Amino acid sequence: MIHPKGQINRMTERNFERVFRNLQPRLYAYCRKYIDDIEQAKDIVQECFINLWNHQVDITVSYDSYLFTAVHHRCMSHFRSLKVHADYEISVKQKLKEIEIPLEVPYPLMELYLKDINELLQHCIEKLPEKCRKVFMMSRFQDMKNQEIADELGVSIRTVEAQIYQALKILKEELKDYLPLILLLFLD
Amino acid sequence: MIQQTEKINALIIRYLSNELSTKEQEELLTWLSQSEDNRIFFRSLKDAYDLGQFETHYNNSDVSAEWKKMLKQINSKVAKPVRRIRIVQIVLRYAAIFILGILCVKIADVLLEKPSNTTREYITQIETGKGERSKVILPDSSVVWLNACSSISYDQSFGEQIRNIEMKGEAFFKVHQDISKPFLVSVNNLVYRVTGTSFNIYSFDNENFVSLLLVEGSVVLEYGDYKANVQAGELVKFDKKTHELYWQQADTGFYTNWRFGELVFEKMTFEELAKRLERNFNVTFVFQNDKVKIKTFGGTFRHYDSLETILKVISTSTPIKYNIEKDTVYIR
Repeated sequence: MIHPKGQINRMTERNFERVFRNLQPRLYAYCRKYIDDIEQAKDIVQECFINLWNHQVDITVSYDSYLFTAVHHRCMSHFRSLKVHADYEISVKQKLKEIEIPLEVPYPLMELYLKDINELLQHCIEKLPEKCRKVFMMSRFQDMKNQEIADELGVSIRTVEAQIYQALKILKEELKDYLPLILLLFLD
Repeated sequence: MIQQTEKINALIIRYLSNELSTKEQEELLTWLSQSEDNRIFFRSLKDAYDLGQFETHYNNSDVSAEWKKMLKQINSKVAKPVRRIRIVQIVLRYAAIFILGILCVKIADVLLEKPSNTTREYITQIETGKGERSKVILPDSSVVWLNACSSISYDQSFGEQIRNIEMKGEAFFKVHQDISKPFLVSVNNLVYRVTGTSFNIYSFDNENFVSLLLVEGSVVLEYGDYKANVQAGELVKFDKKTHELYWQQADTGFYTNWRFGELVFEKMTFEELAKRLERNFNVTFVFQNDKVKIKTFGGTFRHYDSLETILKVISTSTPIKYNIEKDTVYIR
């Protein structure tokens, strides 16, 4: 395929499409960790790709780390740009949301998002004890409320919470290569 | 102290499931603002928790629609319309010459038609049924492996000037190199133009995609006027509904090891997987619970593993329940 001269170092549109189709869903999933608004999250990812396309010649790091860093910073600045809300309830929520985002891009986590998370996760979920797995699947994959799970299984809501915590604790241990490390200290 | 930790853990879990009252949120906030360690602990639980939603978000990213939006954005800066018109004119010119050529041939045909010697075309077709696989050597010594429920066919002109093959289902081609006689594989409206190459084509009538995986050599993919070079290691999927093409890098062994009796499922929905198992084991799947259709699964099995072994493995890692009655598998 022939391209206008002077663009030898630029990605072709097809290569860009390939990068886009590979990374957009991952970046979107990462963005949704922090941003609840679907359209907002899509826009953030879109803007980062446009910057990549426009400035690709100047970019020295790999495309995926460029994009993840860009999305991460945009999520942060999104919360900073929100005005301190007059409504007390909302302002507490906002503050918590802001704390969710670490200051630095969490590199091991980013690597995980570039991998086949599902395969990894399924592998880990298999290692959960039976009850624990059931509760975790209901909560995460079937999107059920803790109360609903408790009702369905005929246990107390506290048990459900404890099982979810147990599941997260095991997952953290399994995935420790990808999650921030220090925390393991807290676990026992 | 232990009580304190337990209380915080419960708070975090309930925060993650979005079930905290404002007062409790405030409590969590106070705890979080006490130290960076607290915040890191909180984030690590959230990170693990979010992984469970990765798939949902991943699938809801609307990547095709978003890519279209992106194309509009990046193309709006480069004005191309003038060039496009020129290309259209050039194409039209060639088309005109081509049509004229065909007309001449047709007229000549009619004028010179000989009553005798109108040999009917002989078509050779090779077909596999459920659970069968087969290896075929073509007249030009190219080799084709056919997976279950697949077929290839060619007529007697095969190998005269071109080597033209039609196919359905899944097949792996190892094409004998002969640059003077291009090897063409037609699937739906797609044509794969090949010289000496090996590649895998997957195209079942009851599935939405036609896909090509190139293992080595080169293939030109033609769709109407559109032509594109496929490189080794690339997987190109064609969406039969939207007529869009998707390119991705792929592990070639993954898609071609069925030849050696492996059953490989690369992260696919249970519905797709059921179709493959139906073809390989001569059974029918009945879904009594539509929800599990969209659950995804990935894994590798040997061909001699029984259907029951495979289903057992699948049901340990996914919330799928089944029972087998004769040739029917019921999924609950």
